[in-house]
Amino acid sequence: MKIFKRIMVVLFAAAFSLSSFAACAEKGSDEGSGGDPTKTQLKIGVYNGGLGWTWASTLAKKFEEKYADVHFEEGKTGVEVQISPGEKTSYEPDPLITNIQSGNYTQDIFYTAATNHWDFYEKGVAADITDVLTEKVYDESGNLAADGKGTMSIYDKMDPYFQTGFKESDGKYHGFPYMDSIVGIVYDHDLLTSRGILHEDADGNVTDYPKTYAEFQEMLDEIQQSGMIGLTYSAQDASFYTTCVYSALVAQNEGIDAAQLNLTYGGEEGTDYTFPEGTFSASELEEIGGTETAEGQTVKITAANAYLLSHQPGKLDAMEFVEMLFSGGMQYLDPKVSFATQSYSETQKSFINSEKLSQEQPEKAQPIAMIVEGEWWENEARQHFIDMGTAFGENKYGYGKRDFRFMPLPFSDDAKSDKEVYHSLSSGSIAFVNANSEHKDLAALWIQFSLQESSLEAFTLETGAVLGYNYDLSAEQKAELTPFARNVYEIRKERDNVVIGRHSNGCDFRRYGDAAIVGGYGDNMTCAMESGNVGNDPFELFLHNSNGYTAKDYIQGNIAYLTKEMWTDKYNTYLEEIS
Amino acid sequence: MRKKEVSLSVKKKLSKFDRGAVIFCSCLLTLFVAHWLIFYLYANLNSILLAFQKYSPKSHTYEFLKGSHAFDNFKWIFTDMFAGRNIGNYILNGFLYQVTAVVIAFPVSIMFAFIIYKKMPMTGVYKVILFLPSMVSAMVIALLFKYFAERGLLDIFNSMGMKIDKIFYTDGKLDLIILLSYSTFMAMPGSLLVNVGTMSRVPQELIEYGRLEGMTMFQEFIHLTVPMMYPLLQVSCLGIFSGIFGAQGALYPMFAEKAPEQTWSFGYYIFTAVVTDMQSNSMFGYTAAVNLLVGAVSLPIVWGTKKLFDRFDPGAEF
Repeated sequence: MKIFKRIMVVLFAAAFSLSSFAACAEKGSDEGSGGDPTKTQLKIGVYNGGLGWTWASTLAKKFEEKYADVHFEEGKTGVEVQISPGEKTSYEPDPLITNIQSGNYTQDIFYTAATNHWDFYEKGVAADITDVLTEKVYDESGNLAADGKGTMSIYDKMDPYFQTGFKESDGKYHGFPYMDSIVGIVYDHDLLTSRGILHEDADGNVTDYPKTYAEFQEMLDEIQQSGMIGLTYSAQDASFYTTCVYSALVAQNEGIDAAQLNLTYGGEEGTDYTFPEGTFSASELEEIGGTETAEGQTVKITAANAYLLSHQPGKLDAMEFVEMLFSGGMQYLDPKVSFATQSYSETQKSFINSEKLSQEQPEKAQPIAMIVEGEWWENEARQHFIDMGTAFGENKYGYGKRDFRFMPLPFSDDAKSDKEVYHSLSSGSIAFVNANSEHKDLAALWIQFSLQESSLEAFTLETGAVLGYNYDLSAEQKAELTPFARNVYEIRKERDNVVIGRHSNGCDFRRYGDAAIVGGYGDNMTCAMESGNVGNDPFELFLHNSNGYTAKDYIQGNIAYLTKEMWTDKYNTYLEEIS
Repeated sequence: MRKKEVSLSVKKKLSKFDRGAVIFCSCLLTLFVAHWLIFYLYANLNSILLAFQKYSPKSHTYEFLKGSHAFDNFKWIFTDMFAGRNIGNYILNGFLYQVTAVVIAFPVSIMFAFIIYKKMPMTGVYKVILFLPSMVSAMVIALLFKYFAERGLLDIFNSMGMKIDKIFYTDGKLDLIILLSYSTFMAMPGSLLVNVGTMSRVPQELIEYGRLEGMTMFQEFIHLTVPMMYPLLQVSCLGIFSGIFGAQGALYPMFAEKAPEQTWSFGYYIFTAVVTDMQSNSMFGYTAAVNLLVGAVSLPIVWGTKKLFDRFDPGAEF
């Protein structure tokens, strides 16, 4: 009895103590551990966001078929690809890097939503895949060459932005771009054309998009007078979407190169930028080394004086556009925009349902004309569409049946460019091979397989999103796309007058300087206001504008925050750290 | 001789028992001591050192601030207080959250505990109303309340003729009032079980004597129950004033890092600076310095609070 008691006590103590280690279970151990012992396992983690992960499962089957008879390990034939959907918060850069370093996450390849690809390289979790990206494995069609002697590499197919941007400080590539989804104002094309707000020609192309801020406001007034709500978005969940809209407005007003100065800080050699006449006084101009020119006041922008970019007039113009959206007590906006319970999913559902709901309850509901969303949104809201189709008729309300399109953003009266800009939220999020992977060769094959022409086409057909590589869809494939996906494809691949703005290529000082952010393009602005410093995207600034600040006030606040003294102090600290 | 043998064998048995007991207790406590050493002692020591360090984005490490920069984090705090963010408003909001929890909710929780202890009518109802939110996850309750406030309460207010567009993120004080009401209600259960248990220890003889003397229930509460549980009340109230710096109400469960700024408390500001999407590695030194300052300020406050309570201690004992 005594021995039995002792045994029970020891067992109890052990169980009690060991339960403390329950949290140390390997993440993903329920996904893909074990598997077919006769095949080599390739484990891939995919960020489970708007684009989902089912595209990877579809691709995995084809990959397994292709290499079904290949021996990657002794005693094993073929490959089994295990796809693990990555929960959003755990795939944020910090927790993901920590989990990989600690060995909790053992996937061979990770597809993330992280823009800061350099962090993964610097923390040593991303393997060098330069050879994989530069190996000529594709034939002229962009597919894997049958004889293994290709003429094209992944690098050749990459958007030039990523060819330079993804090269790390060691001159090598430690990742490849994954998501490159644009964000903008998505409108219900069927709704606006049926109500006579927009008009289209025989080919279904809209002929009267608003081109200026004034025209855009007129359109909003018309929408309001028609008993509709102009615009909705989720301030709770998706405030970073509106940063992209503001960035695109700035880039349209300033031109993409001048907008990019807010990230590059002029580059290594500095870049001349011309401010409007009268921006600086004579003494100020002399102090900053600028000159009066016919066009205005030209200053060479470098990392040491990039704070001067707060004076870019395109930022004020863009801020005034946002101010207009919020004018009249938010008359153009959905009242639920500021609700704490209005998640991005609720907002999507509200937008999708609004037209039908307004027909059934005209006294309670109004159709919503536009939503701030990204090119993934239709795929993300797929279930809402399916539910609507089930309830109200698949042919009219099902997924892919309704026509949604991106509304081109208007230009300010002083715009220096005529290029339409759509800003990419992900700006090429990083996908990489785990530095600890034991199957790097197999991972390389997967990467090359997934980025061949047919795989890229399949990705777009399944998700409706376009990746940052050179590939095309045939006319038949385009016809398979939903109207929204077709619109996205046309914007990204077929329209000459479109520029995709991105923000992942920043200069060293911007990356490593302590909060050395100018803001206004790719970043939020910090404004020193009377009520205290505020750092937010402009939509957020006006949404919670209890002090009644104007666009000019906020821009002045940004200028007041980015003082020469503050900037110089940060720059000198940065120089000390790198020396 | 026999006595010696007996005493020796008893000693042997005792020492054997002691040894076994010591080993058992040590094994049992090892985990908890280790936990305390790592998660309290080391964490707090590390936090103290962090107050004098700065994050280097280039080397991804924290480095000690040297020379004249050693107190930069502390300078930053004072700059923020007087020239930067609305720190003054944050502290005021923290004061409001703390005051409503202590001044309103705490006495009510004691009274509810007394009602339950006395098994008055509707005791069961009070138990359910007060205890149920405590049993369900705080996040779930906060989410339910958020939906109720924005979708239900809004309609209720509008049907009563009050023209209100939104509950949260208003220009006025409505969201703060709603949050304070929520925090007060959630603080009402208090330490219900502990309070009821302590009240149960009041000797029945005293209560009977009081009744014989014509003492009402209210008088019993004021003159008998409260004095007898005074030490418990004192311990519960030691953090009244210093809690101002840490009070967050239900901000994080309800809004994560997106609470309306006019409702922010100082504790919420510090918390969101190091967690969530707003977190920045450069804020760790700052928040560590804040906590050090708060600790330094709280020490005399807690000591003063204890002295204050000691002054009014009726000295009743069980």
